[in-house]
Amino acid sequence: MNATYQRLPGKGRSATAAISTRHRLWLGPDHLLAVANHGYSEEYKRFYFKDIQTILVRKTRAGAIWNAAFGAWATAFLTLILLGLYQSWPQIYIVSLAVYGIVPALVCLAVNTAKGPTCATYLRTAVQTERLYALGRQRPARRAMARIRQAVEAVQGTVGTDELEAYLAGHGSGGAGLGTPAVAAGLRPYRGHAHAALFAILLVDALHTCLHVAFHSAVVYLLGLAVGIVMVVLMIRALIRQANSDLSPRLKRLTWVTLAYVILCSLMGTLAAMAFAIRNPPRMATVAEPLAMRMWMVSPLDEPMMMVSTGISFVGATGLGIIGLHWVRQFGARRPVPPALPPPVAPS
Amino acid sequence: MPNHTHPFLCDRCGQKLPTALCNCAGPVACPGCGLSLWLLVFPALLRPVAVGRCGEALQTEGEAGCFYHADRRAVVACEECGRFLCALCEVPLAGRRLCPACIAVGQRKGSLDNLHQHRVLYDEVALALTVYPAVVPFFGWALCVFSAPAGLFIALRHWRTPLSVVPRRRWRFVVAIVLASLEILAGIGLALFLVKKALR
Repeated sequence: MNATYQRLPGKGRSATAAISTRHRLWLGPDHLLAVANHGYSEEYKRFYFKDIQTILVRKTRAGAIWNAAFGAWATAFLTLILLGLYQSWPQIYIVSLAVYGIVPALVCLAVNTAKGPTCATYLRTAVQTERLYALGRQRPARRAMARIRQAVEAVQGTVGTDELEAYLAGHGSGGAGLGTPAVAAGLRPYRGHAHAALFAILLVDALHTCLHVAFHSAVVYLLGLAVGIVMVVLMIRALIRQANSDLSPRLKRLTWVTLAYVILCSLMGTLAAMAFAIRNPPRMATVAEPLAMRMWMVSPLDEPMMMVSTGISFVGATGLGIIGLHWVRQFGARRPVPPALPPPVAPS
Repeated sequence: MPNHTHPFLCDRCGQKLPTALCNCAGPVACPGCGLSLWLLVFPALLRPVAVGRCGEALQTEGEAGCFYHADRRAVVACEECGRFLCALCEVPLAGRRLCPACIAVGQRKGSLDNLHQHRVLYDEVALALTVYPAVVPFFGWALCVFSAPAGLFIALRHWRTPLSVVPRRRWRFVVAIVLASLEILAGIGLALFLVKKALR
């Protein structure tokens, strides 16, 4: 057993292609060891104290987003339970919804809240900027940072404010002034076409919602399914295109909000279908009647859960679509116009 | 992702961070967007990147030359194999000076601790083989016929294999051995019971 390593506070997870990877940090005699545990194997990265240039810890919204998701999950099931109590569903249904719906959501919410705010930690050397997934929560990150700082300063010493000022004066800012977003090295230029298509399909979905309320038929229902599939495909395309691109941060955030909205609508639709199925069992006992066939025959205005789901869907799709298209247009207008090509030189 | 070319730019709003906000005792708010961040800067950032040495040419006859570059002056001997090395071939590693060949051999054999980048956790493998099939009724229990002996073999075969470069106890091996033994005994007992029943 190697006794020269000391474990640092903090552990985190990251999603890899196959399985979730657990990350931990260890303090060695002359280096920081980042351990990535893939379940049955480990990978190691060493950052020598003499090579560490900067460490940055910044707060992220991931924890708050997860809390919102868990809260929405619990609220959705609570709404279903209240509806069931109002409509006198069998007790077994109410208990099942509580045990399998609300309790897990509340447990996840409590655990996430207890862990504290989330953060992202980056370590920079002369040749790399590495994210330290082990320091993904602010409380353990602060404790770990104090120990890492002590170890690095024991090797390198400290840097004075005057030296930093001289470094910044000589380094320059790459053309970025106060308030002007700087284009970081390595970001891919992107005009936002995939995002424009995504927000446009959201407006189409809002239009379909109006059609579905006015004309509830099989054609409209199937059209809604097609729009939904196209929306998911465009969503995935937009998320892929925005990664490592120079798209504005607010548009990137809006895309993630749109993903959350799509997930929420799917969940609400599922709950509405469950509520509908419980209240409207198949009319023909001998032939299995598909739920979808029964659902398109019913107007959303006649089913409370469907009405709520439809209303949220319409408002969300319209709002996100209009805001998204407006911001995409603004982003495209702010991009620097490439210089005009010089006129061709006439052959002598 | 922070700006690799300029670490003092807030990666949300792009505003330059004043030096007064660097190396604070705790997180501070970005003056542009209010984002809570904590930036530590060390002297390595201000240090110019060292230019690699390429080895000096031999000046006089009789000077020791590098084993890999006969026309270059040797500056040090490899602490593993003793070969003379020029400035280009010398590789400092964990306080020692080694030649590229010894580093390659050390990496292959696993004798250089600082070069370990990957390890298989045989204790996790053995524990998984003995636990997971046992918790799955019927199909998993049938699978125990193969997984229990496999888990026992792996636990005994790799008992002395270095598990991880960080401290790691071997309780998983112990649990795997105990569970595998119990599963094997249960399997033998069940087989005897069925044979006895068939013979009656």
